[in-house]
Amino acid sequence: MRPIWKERPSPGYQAIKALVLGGFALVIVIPILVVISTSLASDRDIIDAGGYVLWPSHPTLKAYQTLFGGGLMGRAILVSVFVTLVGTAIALAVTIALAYATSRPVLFGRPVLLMVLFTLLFAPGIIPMFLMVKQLGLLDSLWSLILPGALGAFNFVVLRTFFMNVPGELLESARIDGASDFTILRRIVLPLSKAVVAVVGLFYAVGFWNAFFNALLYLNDTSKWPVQVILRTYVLQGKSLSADQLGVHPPSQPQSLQMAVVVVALVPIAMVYPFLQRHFTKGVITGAVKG
Amino acid sequence: MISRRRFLQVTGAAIATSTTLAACGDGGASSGGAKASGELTLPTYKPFEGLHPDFPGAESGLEPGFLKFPADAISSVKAPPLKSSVTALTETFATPPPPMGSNPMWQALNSALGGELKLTIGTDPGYPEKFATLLASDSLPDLMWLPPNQGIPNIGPMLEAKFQDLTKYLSGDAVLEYPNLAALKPASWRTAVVNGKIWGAPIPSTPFGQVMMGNPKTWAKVGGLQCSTADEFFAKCKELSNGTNYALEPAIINMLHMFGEWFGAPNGWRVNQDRSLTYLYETDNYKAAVEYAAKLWAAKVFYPDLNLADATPKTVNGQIAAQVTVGPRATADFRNLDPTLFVDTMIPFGHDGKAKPTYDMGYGTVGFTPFKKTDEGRIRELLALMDYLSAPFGTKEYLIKNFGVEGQQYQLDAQKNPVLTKAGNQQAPGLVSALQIMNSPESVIFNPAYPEDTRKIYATEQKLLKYAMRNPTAGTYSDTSSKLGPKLTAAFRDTIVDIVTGRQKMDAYDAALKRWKSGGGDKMRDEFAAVLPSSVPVTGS
Repeated sequence: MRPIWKERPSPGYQAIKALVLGGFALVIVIPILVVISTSLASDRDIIDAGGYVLWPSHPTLKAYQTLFGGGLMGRAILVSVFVTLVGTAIALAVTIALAYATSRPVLFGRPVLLMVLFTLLFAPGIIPMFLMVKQLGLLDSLWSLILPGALGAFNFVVLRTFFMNVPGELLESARIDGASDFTILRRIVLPLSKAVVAVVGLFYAVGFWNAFFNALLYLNDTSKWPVQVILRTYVLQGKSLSADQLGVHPPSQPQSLQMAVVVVALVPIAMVYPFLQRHFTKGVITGAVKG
Repeated sequence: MISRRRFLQVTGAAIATSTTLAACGDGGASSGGAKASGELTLPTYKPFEGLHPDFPGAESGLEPGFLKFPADAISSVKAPPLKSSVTALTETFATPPPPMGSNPMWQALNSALGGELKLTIGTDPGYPEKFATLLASDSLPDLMWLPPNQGIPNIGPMLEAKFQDLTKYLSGDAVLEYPNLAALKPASWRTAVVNGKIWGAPIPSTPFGQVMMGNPKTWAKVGGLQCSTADEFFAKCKELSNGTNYALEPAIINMLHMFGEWFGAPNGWRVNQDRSLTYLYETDNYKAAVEYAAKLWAAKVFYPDLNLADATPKTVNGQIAAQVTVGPRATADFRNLDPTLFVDTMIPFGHDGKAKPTYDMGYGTVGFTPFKKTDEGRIRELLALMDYLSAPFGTKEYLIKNFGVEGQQYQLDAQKNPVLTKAGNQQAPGLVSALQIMNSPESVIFNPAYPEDTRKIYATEQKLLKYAMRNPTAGTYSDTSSKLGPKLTAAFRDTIVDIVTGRQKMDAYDAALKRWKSGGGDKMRDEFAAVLPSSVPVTGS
């Protein structure tokens, strides 16, 4: 008799599986479809549907035209892309260098250093951060969005743990062959750690892309605001409790425009996933076992 | 996805805000405040002359109505106010404007002012954090808008330490040097007084509070929105609800506010004969309103999705019959979606057809904008700027601030009303919202596209004013209320929503009230009672 996992699954079982998985897929796809449909819907569609539209019967690109017709959105996308690309590159470089250095046993006084790094896990609070940014002269500069977040302690720990599991013998043999630390990192450790670097890079990229609070605090020039801040103002306009209490009440933005902003904020970062997905699953599993 | 570090940053941020300002003083804002406030002479009220509204306003709060924009706008200031540039922190409730460099409307305003007005524009939520960081970093702009309701604590000590006392420039007849500021009503000025001193020009918004609005097409089936008893309202709601359509939007707290008015609940605090205070939640009237709401919920007349963000489209298409809006002028929100729709506004009625209902007026201003400590010359310059930006509806300055330049940001339509052009629609909204939040004239009713609406809203306001009640503590400050008020209110409201929606029994009310009192409610009462101005009448008298 063959073991059970080698049996052909029964049609009934297949059907149940398809149903459950299909159901889950719908739960994920429908909200995104609604967001996209609503962004393309006409005012009439939206009123008839009472808010969200599943399928626009009079599709129009009006919302997107308004959005890109001279407002801040075009610039905001450039700002977000810049912050995400440059931020992720800098953050990865800093984190990899630090993680590699602290993962090697030769470094003197490592426990003390680790203690110091451990404190990085705790946020300093907004006012000290603001004072720091101000003293570095970064106020109103895009670097204020990049540099304070350039080293994520959590990502650092993940990367360091991974590097520590690279066999010491491998590195030793490279050293005997005359490789410097930098060569070892570049030629041996990094190629072995592609998956985890991709995952950490994704964490950073999504973090930079989604960040809005720093921008609110450090950037006074509205033309430097990233997409998320703009998204927030579009979606929250007319829904502010404090504005209601005070009797000032700008009308909400049309639902289609709100959803168009959501699409614009969602699509660029969502496009990164397919390229990283392979590494992503691998990276997560590696982390799970070697954690 | 939120990485761990980001998460910690955000949490850290929340904690930091709640503790930082506490370090600025020990919360002694209330000591002697009432006495000093009693001795203060408010700025002399002198309405702006030369404007002729179609429907006159009144000291009661009734807003003047204009059927069309006054032709040949007059000038309300003699000279451009500024000699050098001014920095200011303000907030926009609209989407942010293009920056000064690429915003011709902003540049036009600057040249009209005679100097650059450099605005740092905050957003909501997030403004108190921005305010706190600027304050802590000691790099204050010349002007900082101070919202009365976003939980900025230790107002009194903070103002004394960092901002300019403007009493001698504004009190009594001194204000007459700034005619547009003299045209702000005493009720508005009261909200700019702390510790018996004037700290800035108040920023009037509509003095009216929330109202219930309903789609007349929907309500026609049951004989209209207006009712004379709570039972009648209940029966109508039941008739309008059938499992796909519902009578009421699911904003329980706002709806309770309306029911409370029918049951005679006070606006915030009730002033008793001995001048002690009783909070809304402590009154039997409010408790009765909660019971009434629970009865309505059980009858399934509320739209069932409590997370519905905006009921307006559903009111327009008839899925929901009535919702609560910010005030009687909100009819325009519905016109935006459906130009043929003018919604009805519910006039409060006594719950049993005999009792006198109340109508809760709003706070009336959005606070005031204090000045950074500076010398007399600069103070005069900034006051002139305040005067300019407070120019009444119908003046040249009002046009420049709200509509820009004719032919560029706005055009005159057939009735000679200013209408934003395409360029104006891009440049104006965020900027105008930010300017209006730091300075405003007294509000008016003006619906250029639907002049008939102005007439109707004016009539509604007159009816509402018959039952008007003001919050006796409006314009006074309690430190406990700033610090703990929002948290206490949220906790109590959670219980009420649970009771209304049937998740808790009515006896949870008293337990929640006890927690509210011991958690800071009693302390708030003492602080407000200590600064209660003697001019505030006993409630119901």
